[in-house]
Amino acid sequence: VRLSPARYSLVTLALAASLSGCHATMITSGMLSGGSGKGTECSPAPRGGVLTDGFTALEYSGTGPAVILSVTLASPRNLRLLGAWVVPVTGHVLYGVRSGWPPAWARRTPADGDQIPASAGTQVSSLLLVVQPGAGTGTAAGARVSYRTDGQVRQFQTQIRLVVPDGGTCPG
Amino acid sequence: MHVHSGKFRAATLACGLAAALTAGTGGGAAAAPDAAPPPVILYAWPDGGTAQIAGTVTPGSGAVTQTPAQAAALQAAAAPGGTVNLEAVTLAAGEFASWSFTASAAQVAGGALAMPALDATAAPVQASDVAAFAQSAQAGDSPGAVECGWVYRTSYAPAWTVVGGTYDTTNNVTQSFSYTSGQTTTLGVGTSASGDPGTFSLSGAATVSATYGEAFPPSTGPRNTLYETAFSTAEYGYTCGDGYLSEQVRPGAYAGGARIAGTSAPSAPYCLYQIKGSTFTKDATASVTYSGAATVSAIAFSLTAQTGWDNSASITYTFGGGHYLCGTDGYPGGDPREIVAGKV
Repeated sequence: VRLSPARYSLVTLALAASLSGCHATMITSGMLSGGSGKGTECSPAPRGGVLTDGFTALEYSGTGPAVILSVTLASPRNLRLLGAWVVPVTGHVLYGVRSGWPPAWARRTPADGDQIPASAGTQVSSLLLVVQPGAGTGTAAGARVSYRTDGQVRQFQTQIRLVVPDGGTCPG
Repeated sequence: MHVHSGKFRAATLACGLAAALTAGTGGGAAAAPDAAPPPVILYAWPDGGTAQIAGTVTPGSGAVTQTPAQAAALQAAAAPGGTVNLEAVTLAAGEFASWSFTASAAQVAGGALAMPALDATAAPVQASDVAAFAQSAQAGDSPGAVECGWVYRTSYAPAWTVVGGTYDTTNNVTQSFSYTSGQTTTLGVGTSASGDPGTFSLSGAATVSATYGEAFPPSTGPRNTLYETAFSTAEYGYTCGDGYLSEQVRPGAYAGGARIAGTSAPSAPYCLYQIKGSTFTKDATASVTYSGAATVSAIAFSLTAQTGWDNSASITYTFGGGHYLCGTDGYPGGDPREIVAGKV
């Protein structure tokens, strides 16, 4: 079977192998992350009330502290951010999504200005966002977090879209 | 007639394949110390078609050499979504190894092209006439023609393949899975020296796009479900004109169909609470790779499958009551891999 003549002209494509089993994996550190997952979280707020969204785990593995500068909603529509807090996670359970304001835990600190210390391992904190929709349904593309570490200001945006009906229901 | 037999040196030739594709390092891990690095041939596999040579890798340079016709064939082999199924074949003295992988349209348009997950499972085959082929390929622009390549041998019945899973250990939660047209699933490729049943081993993966969607029924209450659809598979032989140096079974076309199967819930320690009336839809993250997702029974080959949740595939949990939602490897909003409703 003749597949092709062996006449090869010059290169148009460069290959670089990234090969498990033949070299080590590169590890990135010093970055604060809210997770790379994409999707949609819909949770109804009590009519005229607020919802606490504790869906995001903040993970940090830097050798120096990270300071959160600001937390905002990304592309909000009919949805207000009333407050944002950070709570260290000691086990494996996040606060999640619940009606009303979060408890005033002693270790709860305002997200803006929160300092996440350096750690030999990965520090995990729960980001709590208190949001309130207007009449109808409020939405946001995610949460946007600015922080400073190693003298640099960085930013990330979570990819979980937030949908909050005001006293309504989420589509099934 | 098979012309091969004998001892395999998978790890060395696999890393030789890696080295041959990496600039400046040279290949030849399986060859004699003073031998030239083995050539690496890059094949493009179009949907439902037989492999076409898409170029060769200049040993040690990390560069692919293509004729214009080969470059055009590479573009023509791209699926509607732009991905291209590729295979690197390398030949050392008396040995053969291959690794199949998928590249995006952007990757094959220029720049670095990563070959993910190439490892020691690349399957080498000893053959008496491989050295001659290697010399022919290395000659580059010699007047001789490359006589070797993959040829179609047979097709197998579509194999039911796991493309997703949802898990619910509690009441009042509805779980659903969506798999629609355009969704891609990456399926394992098996290679064997002999082609005998039970001798195929994983040698990379190829991606197949669904040409239409399938409706899977949602379920409410404690139930753990695997969602299956079917893909055809075909066997090819690598020949230099006399017998087969290697045989390969690859996924072919999307055959469709919808079937569910029961399973058990995995341990999922990363949890968060979901209020009554809430829903969570997960998409756009590569899900777990299901080992043994399908079996080509005629050759006793179990292949892997991975479906990424994106706009064409997603899982949804709807909470009729307040419950926990948990991930096996991370929180549901991060990279959970598998998601379970209710604490396990």
